[in-house]
Amino acid sequence: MKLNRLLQFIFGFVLLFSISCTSEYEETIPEITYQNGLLITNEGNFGSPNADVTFITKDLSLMQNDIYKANNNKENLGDVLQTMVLNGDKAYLLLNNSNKIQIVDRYSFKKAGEITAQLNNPRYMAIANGNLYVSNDKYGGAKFVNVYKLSDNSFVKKIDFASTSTVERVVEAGGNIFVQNASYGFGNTITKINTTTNAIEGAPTPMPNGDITKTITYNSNVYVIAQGTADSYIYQINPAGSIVKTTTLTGIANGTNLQIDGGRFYFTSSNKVYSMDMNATAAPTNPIITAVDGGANFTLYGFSVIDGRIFTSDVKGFTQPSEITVYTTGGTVISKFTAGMGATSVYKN
Amino acid sequence: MIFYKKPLPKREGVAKRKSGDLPKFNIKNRIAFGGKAAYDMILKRALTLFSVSSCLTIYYSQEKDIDTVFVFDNQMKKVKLFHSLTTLSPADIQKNSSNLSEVLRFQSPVYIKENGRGAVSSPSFRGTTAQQTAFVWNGININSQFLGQGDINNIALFGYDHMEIKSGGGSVIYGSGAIGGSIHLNNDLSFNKGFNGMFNSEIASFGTYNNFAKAAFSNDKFSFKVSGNYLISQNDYEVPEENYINRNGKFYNSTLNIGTSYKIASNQTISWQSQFYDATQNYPIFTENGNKSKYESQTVRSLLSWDINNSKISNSLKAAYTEDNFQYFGNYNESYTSGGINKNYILKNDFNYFIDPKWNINVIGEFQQNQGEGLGTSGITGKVKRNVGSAAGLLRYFATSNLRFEAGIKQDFVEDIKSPLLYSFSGKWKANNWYSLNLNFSKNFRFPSFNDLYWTPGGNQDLRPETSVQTDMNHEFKVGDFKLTLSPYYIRITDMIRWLDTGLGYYSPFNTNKVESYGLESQLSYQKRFNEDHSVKLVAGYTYAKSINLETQKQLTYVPLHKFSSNVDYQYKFLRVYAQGMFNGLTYTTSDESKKYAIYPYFVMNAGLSATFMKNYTLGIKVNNITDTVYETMAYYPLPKRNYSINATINF
Repeated sequence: MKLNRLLQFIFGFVLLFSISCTSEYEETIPEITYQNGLLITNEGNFGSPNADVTFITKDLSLMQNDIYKANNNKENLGDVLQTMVLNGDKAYLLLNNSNKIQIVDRYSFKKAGEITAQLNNPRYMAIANGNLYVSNDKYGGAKFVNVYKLSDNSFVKKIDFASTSTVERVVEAGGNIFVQNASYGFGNTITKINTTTNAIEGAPTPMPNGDITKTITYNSNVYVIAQGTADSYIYQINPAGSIVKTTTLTGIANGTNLQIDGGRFYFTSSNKVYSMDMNATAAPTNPIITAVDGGANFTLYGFSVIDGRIFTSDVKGFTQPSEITVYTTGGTVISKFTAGMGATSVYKN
Repeated sequence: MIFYKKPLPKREGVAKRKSGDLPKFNIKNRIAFGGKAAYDMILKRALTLFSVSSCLTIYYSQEKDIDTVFVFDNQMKKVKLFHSLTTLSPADIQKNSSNLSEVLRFQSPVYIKENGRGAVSSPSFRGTTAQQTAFVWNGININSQFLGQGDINNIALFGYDHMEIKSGGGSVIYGSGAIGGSIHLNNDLSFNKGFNGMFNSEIASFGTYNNFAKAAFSNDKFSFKVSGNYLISQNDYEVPEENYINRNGKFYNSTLNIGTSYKIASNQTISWQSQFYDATQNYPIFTENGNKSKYESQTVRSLLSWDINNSKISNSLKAAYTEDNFQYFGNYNESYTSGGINKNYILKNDFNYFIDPKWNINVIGEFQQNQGEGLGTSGITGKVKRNVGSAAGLLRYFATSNLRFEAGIKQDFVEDIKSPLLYSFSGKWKANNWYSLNLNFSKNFRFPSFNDLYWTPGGNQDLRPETSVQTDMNHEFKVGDFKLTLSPYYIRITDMIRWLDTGLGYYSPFNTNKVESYGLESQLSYQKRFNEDHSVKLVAGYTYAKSINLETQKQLTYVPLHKFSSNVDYQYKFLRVYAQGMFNGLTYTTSDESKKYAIYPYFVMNAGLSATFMKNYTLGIKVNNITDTVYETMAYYPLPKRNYSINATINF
């Protein structure tokens, strides 16, 4: 065989395959704004930059996945979208394994800045006194909360926590910042940060019973849900940092995912969703929803209650896109749809 | 969230020439490449050997090579009597010199999932999982005791004399994990070859430098071979189409191989082969500010073998020590955060007896102690160990020179684990000059790894081994210089070990899924030497792999339905050219067969040209990914676009 005949053969070969390999998945997206709808954060797979945000209209009739990618030249958002905070016309997207907070215009989702300074495995954010507070949990190392100025995204201060401590959720109540010193169901204290001095104020407040699984803010108070093996607890903490009320969830183990909507607590335990009046003293005996069990931590991985609707996310073991189910507060299914990988929370935009 | 902070033990926590051809063919080959004098010498030796160990030679006449070469994996030549293997020479390996992943991707039917060039990599052979491919070094199974799988890019690539790729089950001989197939990294030692050596240096794109040196000496009684290499790559390639820069992708490794063999009597040898391998691998990150981490591994393998080969009886007694250590650096610049130490002590005896020229019995006994120790935050707390024993018997019947059978049975005794009785059956029939048929049926297994058993939290000591029942049927057609092999296969795997969420805040492994894999492996080869000046070799393989999770009825992730690869070599006088083409079909990356997240089909081609001057000096150039294809084997981790290398080799 002559050399050039061989080359002919090779190039023929290449041509054949390059023609057959040009198909590519495309989603064509019309220009829209994301006002007056809902945003769903999809945290993505750890080690993959496939985190993104899903938009859905209030009536759940129109949906768009990957809105960051769609509005930023197909750029990937990053690795593990741990949490999002909305403030003014901006959305702050915290990317845990990218050590980055991506700032976007909340209505167009176009890039509008970023924060990377001093971040090391950032976890959660809250806004108070013109600053952004970000908890950081270095892999096997230091725990601290960073303060950034919202006006120019500059780094202001690092607030160190004891190496034996944990920093996880951060919420604002009555102008103070409260840090949940518990992660993965271990830890039972809440630390207060004075937002004028940007320093830890007082000793951490211990919860008398249970390990904290979630901390939220509602009407200038902090609400904490703590799990036990037999009972769980909801604690109300005032802006000064004292526990003012304890609700014992008798007979409900491993309570988590606390939400408050319309004067009612909503929380989950394994694949069950419970609801009770905030002022009630007796725990509910029956769940309002018993979801299909797809793995205890997967079925209700995401859980949000907004304006009388419950949004649950089954992340399907992180092996396929999440299934979102929308229920009425009575537990009736309104809608089901597929969001992105590892959908977590729903935000009103 | 819990799954993210402490990710599953990912770390802590996967063309060619057919061999097994007739000996005449080998001799012919040598004539072709060694000239008339060499042929005469070989023939003379062959005749001497024929007369000395006549019986055995006759029994193995189908494959018996001239016995001037000592092979550590003494089962390999018997395996070749019943199975078609793909054999890669050091020159073939050199074509994909970056890492073992590339060799297998372009020159075998195995699908290799790689987190960026040179980073974490795992195989899928015949649609099975990473733990269901066995990596075998000189006959010893070297899959990680912690993970149960071969960490492909941390397996030394240089210094082997042959790499064999065997499709299908092989647990009776090669142990745990030989379900989809096995990859064999083999060394041999020649006698009476005098002194020879070579030095090869390669400079490639992305700051890649590789130097390899080898020296060997042998006389009629003694043989010695040493080789070593150092490979470093900055590996900072960019794929603009994907907005991708392979940040923190640097890797480097070094290997030292030493082998020696001594004939203590006319039919007895004492041989020793060792490998020392050190590797550092950074894990690529997606953004400048991402968490930089790295991985280091140190491997020691040492094998001592005492072989007796008489006409009717042969025996191989082996003692081996292997050590696999690794450290994971969660923070790139600081001390390691976790790691593991694994030591294995292995004793193995392989006894082979010809009752008469037609019946052959083979008994293999093995004892191993595996020791493991976790470091830092590893879930293996403290030391763990287990004793593993096994006894296997194989009976071979050579009915005629064209018809033979083999039946094997094996029982493993793994401490605290109930092991199934394994078996294998093979038959090979050469119907006529152009058609032969080979049928295999076997039961194989993969026993739980240290992580599966002892990881805290989650380790499950009640696990059963994964088992497979499988069959394949190989049809081989020969027409002129063409050879076509068609191998439909079927594998049913039960008790698959999967790490599932327990709902208690951690994962735990369970015997869960059932998987059914079936498909077709095919290979077309053409080899011709036209005259003194021209020769051409073509090997093309196509695989169709359907691998279904029986619970969901969906295709397993990272198992392409279609894969095609081909290698063409052409020699004209002192010039050699080769080209490799690989087509990979639609590959799902999510368990729901989502097309949105799937990897779309791609074709990649590599080529190289080399020229040899004054017999001993070779200069070469390689162009990888000539087609400049943007492709990935693992979602979001593109592999390099077009890249180059130049290399020089001196033989002495």
